[in-house]
Amino acid sequence: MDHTLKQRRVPAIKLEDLHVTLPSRAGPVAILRGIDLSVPAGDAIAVVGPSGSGKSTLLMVVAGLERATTGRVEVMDTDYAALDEDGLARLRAANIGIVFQSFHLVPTMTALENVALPLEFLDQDNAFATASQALNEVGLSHRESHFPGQLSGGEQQRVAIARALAPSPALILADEPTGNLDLATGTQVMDLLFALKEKTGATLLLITHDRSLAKRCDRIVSVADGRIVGAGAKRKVAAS
Amino acid sequence: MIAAGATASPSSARFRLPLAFTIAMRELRSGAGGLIVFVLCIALGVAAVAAIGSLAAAFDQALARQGRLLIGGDLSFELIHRQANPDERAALEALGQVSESASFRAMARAEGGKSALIEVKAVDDAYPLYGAVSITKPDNAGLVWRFPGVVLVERALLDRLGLDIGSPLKIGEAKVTIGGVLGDQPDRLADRLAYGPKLLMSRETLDSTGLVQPGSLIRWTYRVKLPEARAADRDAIAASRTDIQTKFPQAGFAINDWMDPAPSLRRDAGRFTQFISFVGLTALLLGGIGVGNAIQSYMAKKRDIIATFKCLGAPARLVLAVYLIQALLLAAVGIAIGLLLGALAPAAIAAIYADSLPISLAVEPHPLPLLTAALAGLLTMVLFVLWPLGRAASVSPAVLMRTHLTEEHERSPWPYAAGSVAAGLALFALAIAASEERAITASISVGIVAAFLLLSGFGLLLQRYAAKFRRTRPPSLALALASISGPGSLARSIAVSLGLGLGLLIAVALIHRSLLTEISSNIAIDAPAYYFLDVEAADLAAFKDKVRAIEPNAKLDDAPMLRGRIVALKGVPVEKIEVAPDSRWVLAGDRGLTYTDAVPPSSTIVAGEWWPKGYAGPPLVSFDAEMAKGLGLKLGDGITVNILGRNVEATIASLRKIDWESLAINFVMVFSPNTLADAPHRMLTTLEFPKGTAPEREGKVIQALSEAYPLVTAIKVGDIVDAAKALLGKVMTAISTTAGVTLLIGAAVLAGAVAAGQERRKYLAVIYKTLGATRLRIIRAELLEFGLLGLATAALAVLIATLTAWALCKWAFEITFVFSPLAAAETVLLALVFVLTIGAIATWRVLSAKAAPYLRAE
Repeated sequence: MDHTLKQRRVPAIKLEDLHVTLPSRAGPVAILRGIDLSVPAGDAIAVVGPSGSGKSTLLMVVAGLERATTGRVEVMDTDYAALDEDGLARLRAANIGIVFQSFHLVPTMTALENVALPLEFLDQDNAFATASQALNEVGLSHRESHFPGQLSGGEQQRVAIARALAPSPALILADEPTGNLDLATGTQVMDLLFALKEKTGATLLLITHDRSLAKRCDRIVSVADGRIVGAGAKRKVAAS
Repeated sequence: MIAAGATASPSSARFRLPLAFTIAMRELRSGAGGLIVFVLCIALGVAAVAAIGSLAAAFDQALARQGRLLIGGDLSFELIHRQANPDERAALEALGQVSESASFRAMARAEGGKSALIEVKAVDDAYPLYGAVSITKPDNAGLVWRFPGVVLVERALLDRLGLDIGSPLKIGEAKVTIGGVLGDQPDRLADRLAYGPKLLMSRETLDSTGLVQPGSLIRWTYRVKLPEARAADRDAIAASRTDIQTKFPQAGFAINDWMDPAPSLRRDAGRFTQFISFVGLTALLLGGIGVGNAIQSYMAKKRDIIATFKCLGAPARLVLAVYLIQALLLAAVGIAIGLLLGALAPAAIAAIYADSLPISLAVEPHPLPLLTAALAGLLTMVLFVLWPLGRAASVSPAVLMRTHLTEEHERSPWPYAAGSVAAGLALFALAIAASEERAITASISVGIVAAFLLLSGFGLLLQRYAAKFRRTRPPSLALALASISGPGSLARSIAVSLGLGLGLLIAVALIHRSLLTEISSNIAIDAPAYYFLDVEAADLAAFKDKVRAIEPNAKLDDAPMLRGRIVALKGVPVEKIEVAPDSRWVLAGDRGLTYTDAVPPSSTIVAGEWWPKGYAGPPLVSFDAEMAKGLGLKLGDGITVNILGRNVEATIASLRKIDWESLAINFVMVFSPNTLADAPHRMLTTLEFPKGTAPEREGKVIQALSEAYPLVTAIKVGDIVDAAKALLGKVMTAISTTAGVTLLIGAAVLAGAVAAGQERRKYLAVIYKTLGATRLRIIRAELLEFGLLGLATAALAVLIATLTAWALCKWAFEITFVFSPLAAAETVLLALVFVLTIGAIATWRVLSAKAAPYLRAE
C-alpha cells in the first residue's frame, strides 16, 4: 500500500467540480452536478443521501468505473483524465478495493479463487497463500473451497471484503455493504471492515443509507440531487 | 374495477384461450429479438428436411412423368450382342410401333490422327417414338442424322478432336461428316455410364462402319409405342411384358416400361436419399437444441412478467398457453421459411446442375415431403420447448421473485417432460415411417441420439476437467478455465452444436479421400493403361505384334469376352429373388463373362476346384466368392445365364476371391471352355506400358492400333478412373452440402447459446475489470475459452469421424482407410474459425459493456 500519501497528508481522493451526465431515452440525465470533495489519506468518509441522489455514481467515478463528464478526478495522486481504461484497471488492481452491496463474487469460482483473483491480476506468485490468509482474517478459512452459491449472504460479503483487502489497497470503496444483510450480520461485517481498515491504514469511502453506520466514519458527506448538501465535522471513530 | 371488500369470482382465474392469445400477441408486440435464433434454427432444420424430401420427390416424379421420354417408348426390350430374330421382331411389332437402335462404344478418329472414345447410338427412321432429338447447332439442321454418312456429336467431341460442324470423322471403316451438335435426346436413361461424348447416326451409317460383327459388344434396343388405349394401362403394359417373356423365354430380353423406367436408378437414388435424410434429421434435431436454448433464455427474461401474471391470478395453464402460443407462432414463421427454402431446392438444383442431372427434375412444390418436414419441425419444437415452458409456467410466483438473480433451477412437472418425450418419439416414428428400410432407420435414429448424448457428455467432461486446472497461470487461462468449468459454461453447447457438423464433414472428407486413394493410387500400381474391346481372335497375334513393334516391353493380356444376363439362380427366376443390396447390381443388367481353362490372374480359389484342362463334362462356372455370398449361392448350385439368346445352365464348381483393384482382366463368372467356346465372340485385351513410358510413345501405339484396327475400341483406364472420380465427387458434394447445413445450424445454435449467456459474460467481465483486469487480459481469457473449447470439440470430431470413417471403409466399402492429416487440419481450422468468430463478436460486446449498470445494487 502507498502509505506515503498518508504521511504527506495528500488527499487520497480529490474531486473538483465533478459532473456526470448519462444518456437516457428521455434525454440526458445529470447525475452529479458539481461535486467538490477531498478525502485525506487514511480517513474514513461516509457518503449518505436518498436513493437516486448520486452516491453510487460518485463511488463509480472514484473507482474509475464511470467517467466524469466534466471536472477533475484525482485518486491516489493520479489524474484519471490521463488514464485509459486499462490504466484505470491497473490502478484499481494495485490501489483500490471495492465492496458492493450485492457482493459481486464470481459465481464460477470458489471463495479462495475469488479472493486470489485480484492478486492474480497483479501477477503475484503467492496469490493463493495471500488469499488464504485474507480469508482467515475474515474468519472463513473453513469455506475456502465453497462456491458463492454455497455461502450465506454474510459469508459472501466477508469473502468480498477479503477480496477487496487482499491486495492491501490504499483505498477501500464500499457501496451499501450491509444493504443485503440482516442487522446482526451487517454489524459483524462492518466491524470487520473497520477493523481491517484500521489495521491497514487504508482510506475508506463508504456509501450508506445507515446514519448509525455513517457515524462510525471520520466524516459524513450528504449528497442530494447530485450535489453535496452538507459535510459533517470530522470525527474520531470511537474505539468501541 | 372491483369495489373494496368485494371478492373476485374464481372464474376470473380460469384458463381462456382467447385471453392467452391476446396476451401472447401483446408480449410479442414488444419484440421477440431473443428468439431470432429460435426462428433461424427451425427454419434451417425444416429447410434441410424439406429440401431433401422435395429433391427425392422431384426425382421420383420426374421418373414417373418422363418415363416414356426416359426409355424412349412405352416399353423397351434390350439384347446384347445380337439383333432380334424375325419371330421376335414380329412379336414386338404386334404390340405396337417399334424402333430399333444399336448402342456401343467405339473410336472416333479425326483426319489429323487424333482419336477419342465415343458412345455411339445408331437409330432407325422410327426414332424417336416419343420426344425429339435436340440439335444445338445449326438451328435448322432438321433430321440430319438420318442421312447416310451424317452424324450428330456432342460438343465435347468437337472440343476434344479440334473439329467443327462439317468436319469429316472416321468411325470404324466409315468416313462420316459431322452434321450438327447433339443436345438432349430421348431415352437418356437407357444409356449406360458414358465414358465419352455421344454420337448419333442412322442404321444405314452404322452398316457402313463395319462395326456390327458377330460377337461385337452392341446393345440392341427395341422400343415399342403401344396403341394409345393400351399405353396408359398398367395391366396392358404388364401383359405385353409377360407376352414377350413367355413367347421367348430364351431370348434374354431386358425389359423396362415407362411406369418404372429405371428401377435400379430409382433404388440407388432411394438409398442415397435415405442416407442423406438422416443428416437432415440430425440438422433438425440440432436446430431443436438451438430452439430449446433460445426459449430457455427467453423465459428467463420473462420470469418477472410470469411472476406478475401469477400474482394477478393467472393460472399456470394460462401462462403456459401464453408462451406456447408465442412459440407456436414463431415456429410457424420458421417452418414457413424452411418450407419455402425446401420447396425451392429442386428448382435451384435443376438450375445449377441442369447439365449433369440424368433427368429434368419436377420443380413444382411437392406437398407430402413439405408436410412431413413441417410436422417434423413442429414435433422438434414441442420436443425442445415444452419442458422449459412447463418449468417456467409451473413454479410459484414467490419462487420466481426470489430466484430472480440466482442460479436456482425449477423442475418441469412430469406431464411436460412426458409431452417432450412423446414429441421426440413421434419425431423418430415419423422418420421411421417415412423410410423403406425401417430397421436400419431405427438403429440410425438410436445412433443419432447416442451421438447427441456422447457430445453432451464430452462437454460435461470438459467442464469437469477444466475445473481441475483452475489454479493455473497465466491468469487469463485461469479465467478461461473458470468460465469453462463453471455454471453457464459453453462447453456442452459448443461440443453438441459444432461436434455433429464437424464430425460429419470430416467423416465425409476422410471417406472421400480413402475412396479417391483407392481409385487412384492402388489401381495405378500395376493396372493396365488401356482396354481394347472387340479384338478379333484371328487378329490377336498381329495386334500384339503391332504394339511390341513400337514398345517391345509392353505387357499384353487377353481373354475371350461375351456378355450375358443371369436369368435364374438355383432354378428360380431372378425377378423372384431377394438379394443383398450390395449384390443387386450383378442381377441388374448384363455382365461380362469369359471362359478359360486356367485360373485367371489376380484371383484365388477359395472354395471348390478348377476344372481340368480339356474338361468336356456338363457346363461349369467359377463365381466371385463375395457376390456368391450376397446372392446366396454356394458350390454345386446352378445358375442360368442368357448368352446370345440362349439360356446356359452351369453348376458352380469353384468360388474365387477377385482382386478387382488390379484391373486385370477378370469376371464375376468364368465358364469352362466347353460351355462357350463355340459362341461367336471377340477378345478383350489389356495393355500395360512399362513404367516411365513417355505419353508421346503411348499415343503412337494407340494411333497405330486405331489405324490398323478401326473396329477395335480403346478405353483409357485413366478416363474410367476420372469418370468414377467425377461421379464420386458429385455424391460427396451432396453429402458435404447437407453436412455443411448441419454445421451452419450448429453455428446458429452456438451463437444463440453465446447470446443467451452474454449478460452473464458481461457481468463477469465487469467484475474482472473492477478487480483490475485489463482489456487485453479479458480478451485473452475470452478467446482462450472459445479457442480451447473449439479445439477440444474439433479433436473429438476428428477422433469420432476417423473411427466412423475407418469402420465404414473397412466393413461397408471394404477399402483401405487412409487418414488425411490435411482434412483433419482443415476441420480443426474450420472449427476455430467458427468458434473464434463467434467468440470475437461476443468478446467485443463484453468489452463494450459499461460497468455501472451491472454493479449498482439491484
